[in-house]
Amino acid sequence: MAFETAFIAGYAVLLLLAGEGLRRLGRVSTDAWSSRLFAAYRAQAPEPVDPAGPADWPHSEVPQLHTVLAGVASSAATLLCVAELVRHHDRLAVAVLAPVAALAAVVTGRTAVALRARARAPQAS
Amino acid sequence: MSTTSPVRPQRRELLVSRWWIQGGLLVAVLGLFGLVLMGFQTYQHHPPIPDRVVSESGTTVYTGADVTAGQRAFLGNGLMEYGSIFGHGAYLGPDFTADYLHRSAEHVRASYGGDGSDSAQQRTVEEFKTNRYEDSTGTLTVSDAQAAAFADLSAHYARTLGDPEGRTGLRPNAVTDPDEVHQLTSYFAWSAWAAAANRPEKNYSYTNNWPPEPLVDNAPTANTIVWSVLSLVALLGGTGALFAVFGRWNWLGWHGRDQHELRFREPRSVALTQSQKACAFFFLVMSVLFLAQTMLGSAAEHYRADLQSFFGIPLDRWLPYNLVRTWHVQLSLMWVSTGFLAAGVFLVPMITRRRDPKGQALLTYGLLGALTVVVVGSLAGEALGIHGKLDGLVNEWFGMQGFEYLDLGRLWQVLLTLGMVLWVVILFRGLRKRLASDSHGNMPWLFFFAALALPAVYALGLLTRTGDNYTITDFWRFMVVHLWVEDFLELFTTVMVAYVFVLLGVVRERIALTVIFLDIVLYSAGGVIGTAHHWYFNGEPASVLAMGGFFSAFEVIPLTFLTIEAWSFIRLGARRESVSETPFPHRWAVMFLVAVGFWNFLGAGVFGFLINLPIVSYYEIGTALTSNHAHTAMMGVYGMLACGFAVFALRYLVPKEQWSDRLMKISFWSLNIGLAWMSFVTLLPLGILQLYHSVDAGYYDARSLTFITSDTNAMLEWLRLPGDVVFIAGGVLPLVWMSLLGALAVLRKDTPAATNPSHGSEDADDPDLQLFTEVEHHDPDEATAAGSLTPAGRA
Repeated sequence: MAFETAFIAGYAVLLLLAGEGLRRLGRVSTDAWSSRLFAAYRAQAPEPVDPAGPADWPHSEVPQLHTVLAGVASSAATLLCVAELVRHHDRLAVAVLAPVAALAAVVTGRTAVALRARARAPQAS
Repeated sequence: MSTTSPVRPQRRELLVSRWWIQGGLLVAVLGLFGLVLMGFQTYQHHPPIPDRVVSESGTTVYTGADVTAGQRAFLGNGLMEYGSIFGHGAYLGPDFTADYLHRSAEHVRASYGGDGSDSAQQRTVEEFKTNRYEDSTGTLTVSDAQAAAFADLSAHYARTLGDPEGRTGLRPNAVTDPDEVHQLTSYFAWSAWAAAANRPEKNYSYTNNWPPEPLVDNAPTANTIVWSVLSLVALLGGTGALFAVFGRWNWLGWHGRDQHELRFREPRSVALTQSQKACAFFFLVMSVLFLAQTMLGSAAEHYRADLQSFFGIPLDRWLPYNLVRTWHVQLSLMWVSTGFLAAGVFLVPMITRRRDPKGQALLTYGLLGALTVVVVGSLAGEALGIHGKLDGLVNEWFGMQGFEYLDLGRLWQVLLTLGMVLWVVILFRGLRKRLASDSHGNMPWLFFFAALALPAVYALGLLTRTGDNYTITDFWRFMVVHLWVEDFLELFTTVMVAYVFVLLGVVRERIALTVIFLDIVLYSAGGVIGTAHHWYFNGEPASVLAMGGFFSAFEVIPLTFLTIEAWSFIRLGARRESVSETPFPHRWAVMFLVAVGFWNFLGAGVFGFLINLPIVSYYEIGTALTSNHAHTAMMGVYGMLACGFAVFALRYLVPKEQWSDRLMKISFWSLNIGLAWMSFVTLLPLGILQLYHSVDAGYYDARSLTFITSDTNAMLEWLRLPGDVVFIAGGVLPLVWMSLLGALAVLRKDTPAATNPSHGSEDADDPDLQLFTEVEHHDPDEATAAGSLTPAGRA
């Protein structure tokens, strides 16, 4: 297998992992107060503020940025694998690239569905 | 007889502890002391330029005057925007230091028996590593084989730089004058000598053995490796310590006080002063320059994807690569600066809640005119310089000075500095009354000081002289490229963002002040001394590499920390927004700030640190990973900020019926998607591949056109196209359109004016100009702290 093919497949997997990280980040609260980093601070603060709810703007919208960028990462992984398949399509290359491309395409599709559902949901704020 | 003394206005008390000012000053002074110390070392330990370079048989190969003239020819012909020297410059052409070193070493080795001979290899290493420069006579002696290599390489550079066909990224016949070719070759030869010959009494070269070149036994030094490890320790330890300290002590004093009830004013009900209206034209200029910058970026990108032709058009005859890159790089600073200058002017009446002093609008339009003259003049000068229409001093002053990021002629550089001074004068005139009544440590003064620092630090760039030793020029160049852009511009934007949040009523002034002081402390510790991370391999001594490696790791800490702190700003904003009875008018401006937080962490923090360790930089400098960091940090942070400020101001300038949240939404998402695509699909994988190739096959090879135009690279470059289209068409064009609407509204006088004579003057508050939020106050303790936000605070 060509070095280029192995690199693209590996890089696409890396992108998918980074995208998954961003997607998870897109699901957690963006309220800094709920961060573990502030645990000691919260213990000190005499009047801790109420955590912001997920429906409070811009917390309702910020996760979308992470999710969209996760979508960019998986789309990039798909396109890179497909382009590489066009250039190298011996059996080994297909065996390595096709599953990664398929996985990346599925992840992209699911991200698109999730984003559409989020867009259709009534604005919380 | 009684005497009356003038009554001095009562100054508002300092809102934070004096410890913040003292601590901030102390750390800033220490940081600047470190910088001065490195400057001293630069002048003491830069590689010498010999008066004469002679061969063993006694012929003169080149002179010191040739080297200096060669540097001028290199800069004047825009070659630093084509390839690089000591790793600094553009990435399409070769690194001329590495190129000369590799080719001459090959030549010398071949003359002693070629690559099959161990003794030839050993002798080559000895010749290149032994420092035969005599300080007392100013003479450097080279072997006859090295002298022969010089003659051969003169012919090589005459062929490649003066190619009549072009297709190299340079214009056809770019450098044809034999004297100039000789001088350029001398410059490259001198840089290669400094890169290989050991420093006196050291076992490594003037450039800490950069570039990696097995032919002359150039490998990473102990300093490069050890300080990389310590840099990592500094990053991890520093981050942990900061969070521990931050968690332990309640520095920032965020408390749950939500007694304010805000009613955000409808933007069109906020009266604008004439100087604010002038900003509409600044934002139009900004967005048009942004558009031009992205188009030029596309052209530069095309050269990397297909060097041979631009869809059948011989683009390199009119717009060679080095010209489009020069413009691309210069415009990146210019459009962003235009946005920041305008944002500063726009904020002043909102900060002071007073009308413009007399002549303020005139000065603002004057500034716009001056800026236009500098932009047009410098871009035209650069084109004339690169096309060889200007020579010598005329080229340096009016045309192409040629340092990357300081490409503009010195005249334009001086005018730009003066323009920024005029901008500070405008800000001062607007702020004067407010400054007189406030503590020197409070926000109005910090706003003014941060603005004042911009022309002051930019002016340091004027000490970059084309005729100086390269190491010295680089020291001063990075006063602009790093200290100005990455530290002082960052400080100014932090102050502006904090102020916007304070003015909107979403953050209390005391908290914003603490964050700004924290920013000063963190950036003074890491950012100022961290400037040295650009100087690992440009001829600075190893001590500078050590300081750069260690302290620049601390730069990432404030990026991480301030990103989290920015979230807290937004979080507090969210709570205010949720209790407001009127809609929040700055949804998309705030979303741009959200994007700044993301790109600050990824582009500046992660991608910056990726290339920051000396051992990584050793193989990586001047490759696509630098470009990856530059794009995601410059556009991701400063670009998004400038867009955010523009959207914020345009919200007041564009008539309600013409304002389109939908267009801003498209712009926001397109810019972010396009930027992410650019990085994920092209710059990052390309950079990783190039870094791998640099370690595996050698730096010289990784920078060669053969590698850069290889099929693999071409595929990655072409795949960037969809992202660039989204970025330009979806991201930039809506901004241009909205800016145009703002400018047209001002021309039509369709903007709310502060004309009610019963309302205020330059000396008194004007409610029409005042807040764009209204605050009803329930907590008497808040009155002092919230200051300008509360009815009590208006007194």
